[in-house]
Order: sequence, then C-alpha cells, then structure tokens
Amino acid sequence: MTDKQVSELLGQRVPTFDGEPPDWMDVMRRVRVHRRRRTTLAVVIAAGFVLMLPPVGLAERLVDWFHGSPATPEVRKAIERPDDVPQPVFELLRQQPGVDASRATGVLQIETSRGPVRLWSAPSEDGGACAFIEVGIQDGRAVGSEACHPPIRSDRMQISADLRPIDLRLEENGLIFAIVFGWKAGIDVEIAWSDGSRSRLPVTDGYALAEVKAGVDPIAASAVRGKRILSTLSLVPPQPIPTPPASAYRDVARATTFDGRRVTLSVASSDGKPCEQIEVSGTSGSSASGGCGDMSGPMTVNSDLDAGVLFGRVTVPAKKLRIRFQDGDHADVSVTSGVFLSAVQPPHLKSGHLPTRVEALDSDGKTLATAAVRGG
Amino acid sequence: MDAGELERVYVNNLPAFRRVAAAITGEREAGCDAVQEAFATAVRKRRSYRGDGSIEAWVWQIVVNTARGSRRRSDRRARVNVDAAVQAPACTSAFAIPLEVLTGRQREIVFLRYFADLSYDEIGRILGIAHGTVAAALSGAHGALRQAMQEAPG
Repeated sequence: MTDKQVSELLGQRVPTFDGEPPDWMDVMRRVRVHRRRRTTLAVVIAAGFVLMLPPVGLAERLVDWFHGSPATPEVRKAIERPDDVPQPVFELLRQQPGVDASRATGVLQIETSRGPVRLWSAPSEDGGACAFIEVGIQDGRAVGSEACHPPIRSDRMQISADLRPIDLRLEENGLIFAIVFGWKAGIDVEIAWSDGSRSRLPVTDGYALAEVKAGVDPIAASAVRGKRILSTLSLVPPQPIPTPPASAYRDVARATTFDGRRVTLSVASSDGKPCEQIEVSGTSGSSASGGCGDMSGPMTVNSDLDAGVLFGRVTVPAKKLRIRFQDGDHADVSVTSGVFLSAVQPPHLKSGHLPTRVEALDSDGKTLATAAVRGG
Repeated sequence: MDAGELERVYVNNLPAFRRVAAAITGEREAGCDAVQEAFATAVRKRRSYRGDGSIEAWVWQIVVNTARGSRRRSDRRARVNVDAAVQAPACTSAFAIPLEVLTGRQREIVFLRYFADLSYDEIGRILGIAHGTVAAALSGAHGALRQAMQEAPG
C-alpha cells in the first residue's frame, strides 16, 4: 500500500456533519454564562471539592516538605519570561516589577481534580513578591498564572482574592487564589459558596489556594481568626457591561508603535461607564481590544503588550501626564477627554530604561496622582 | 477583531472544525461541543489575538486545544476509541484504519491534513511546529498506518 493509497483511504473516512447546522447563538450563550456553565465540567470533576490540606500533623509535614524548596528550572523559566510575549514588549512586561526568579521558592501545593497545583513565590525589587501558580509543564516550561503584589507584611489586614485558571489550555477559572496582607499565624481564609456552605483554607506565608467546588460558585473570600471576620472580598463577578457598537466610539488619540504600526485610542460610554478601545493597524491587518468599567482610582494605566503602548484614563484635572523611566528620562503626554495614549519607543523598551510610573501633573507641575506601569 | 469576524470564521469552516474536533476527542458529540466551547473561548479571548497570523489559524489552535482537553477528560472516564468518530461513508473501503498505531501528534496532524485540508504550513502554525516536522510526522504516520494495515488479518 502506497502513501497515496493511505491518503486516499483517510480522505474517504472523513466524518460528515450533515444535518447539524451552525449554532452561533449557542456560542454566544456560552460566552455569557461561561462562569456559570459547569454542566460539562461538573461531570468531569464530579468528585471535585475544595481540597484542604489534611489534618494538622500530615498537613504540616506536607507543607514542610514543599515549603521553601527552590523552584524547579521550569518554574524559574516561566517566572523569568511568560509565554507568548514578544520582544521587546516582554521587557515592558518585566516591569511587574523586576522579579528575581532565581530566588523563587515553594509555598504550598494542593491536589486538585486535574492534578497537583503548586504555588511558588519570588521576591520582587519593590519589596513585594510575584506568586506563580503552576498548573502543569509544557515544552520544558511551567505553565500557570502569575500575580505580583506589594509586601504581604503590612499593618493593614486586607484580603485579596480572585479566580485563576486550573487548566490554561481550557482557561477554566477553577482555582481560588487568595493573599492575606497583614497575615499572621492563626489567620485562615474562609470561602462562602453559593449553596450556603463554607470552607476554611489554611494560609501559608499569606497565601491560600483551593479548587472551586463543582457546580457551586464562590461568593466571597474572608480572612478570619477563629469566628471573627477580619476582611472580606466578594468573588461574584460584576454584571458585564454591554459593549457599545463600533459607531459609538470616538477617536481621541493616535500614536505609532516602535515597529511602525498605527494605534488609535477611541472612547465611548455604556450604561454610564467609560469604555476604551485600542486599535492597532499594521501590514498584516488590524486588531482591536478594549473594555468598559468603573474607575478604581484617580488614574488607570493600561498597557498593550503587543504594541508596547501605554494608555489609560485620568479623573483628576491634570494638565499633562509625565511618564518616568528607569534611566531617569521622562516623557510628557497630553490628556484628551480624560484619556491618554503613548507608544513607548526604543530605548525605553529595554531593561534598565523601562517606564516605571505615570504622574498626573497640574498646571503648576504639582503631582495630582501617580500610577505604576504594569504589563498586562 | 470583533465577534462578527469570529462568527464568519465559524460559519465558513464549521464542518472542518467539527471533523477535526470529533476525530481528536473520539466522540462526535464531544467534538461538536468542543468546537462550540472553543469559539466561546475565542470570543472571550479575542483581545489576545495579535493579528500576526490569520484568524483561522488562531481559532484552529483554540479548537485543537479544547478538543485535546475534552479527550483528556474522556480518557479519565473511559478509554476512547479514536476511530469511533471517524464515520465510514457508504462507499468506503473495507479497510479499517488503525489510528491507534499513531502517536497523539501524528493523529492530530493527520486529522488537520485530511479532515480540514490544511497545508503543512498552516498545520505547523496551529501546532507550533516547523513545516519539516509536519512533513516528517505525516510521513511517519503514513508508514505506521501502511504497516499496520498490511499486517492486519484478512
């Protein structure tokens, strides 16, 4: 039998899907109810539940075994350079904020319905740390999600928590990741679930990690000591804000990226919330991204990693914005309709020269607000 | 990129997406579900599309990855018959195709080549491997299938 015959035979065996029409509405329904849709997932992880560490004696042994262990080369590589981030934009990403991957160590590990998940932490230049949640290994590199944060040692007790993928290939948010700032021994994390139940998680070095229960949504995460709640954070996602039609957007700023692509920042509003859209046009076509939402402070700074662009919104009455760089340089950017756009150019896309923060200045040069530049 | 562009890709290429996803998952229903879920993922993640390749190739990556995930879950439940989703049309040869002799990567390349009619370059981009690797894997797949079919009784 020749290769050609094998090819023909395979060609004859093509499965058909006649009589099964497209169902784009179903796709969009899955988009809308993604977080709630666990019908398939519930079957897969029918035995899924929050896996707390075993009773005290064994738990301590497990924590002791992993806690403080040096990170594997795969994890160090992942922390040093996340996947799919092109140079030189990666240099901009490293701005979050100079993590020392060589000092990454193990914090805690849990068993999940999809295998072990490990949490590592590496110190960052600003005195904080970057936590890396390892959910697997692919092509010699650990895969997972990262979160850089200020120092956990703090006088102010505050819990930070969000949902993270348990399987990056599926991007299912199957993990609860919590950081307790101001953490001390004796403080646990408690998760409240939509079925009325509660789960208590042990905290190691201020971190807690758990798998989401199958078919039940996490409602809130709290830092607790005994029965006393010290800090609570809602885990219920905000209602999605409808995306305005393209015609509703108004162009407010333009820039050219380091590699010659055109960037346009446009704004609109939806349900009273400000919306921003960045469109990047090059020889290979154009792509647009954006979103709508409330302002969480006087100034937000976003970055488009692919284009090396900084953009954001300012609510204080700033005359101009000043971007500060690692090498002491600065660049001034104008504010139009409360938003700004700046394409970072060489040499400020390389380590040692990267943008570090954006300052909002009034007409006298007084600083009204400051925001750190983060990749993302 | 807006959802409308993804809908266009969906409508224009749906049979191919379903064929490949069904072949990878080993189940027709799971394949269809994987395609729906993959496009939902694509809509949610469309911001991450960087425009440095075709939208189709980007979506194919998501479809293949989603189908792989579906297959892994099925594997945990029960061993699946990879050949089961590959229906034999009425005019087919009497030969059974022993796809189980292929490696996972060989199978995916075979499916993308014959069920989606993609070029070596397109397959390479989807799977993140070089053109030559695609050619070599396909050649190896042909050899393995040829040998298995020749050795098969009857």
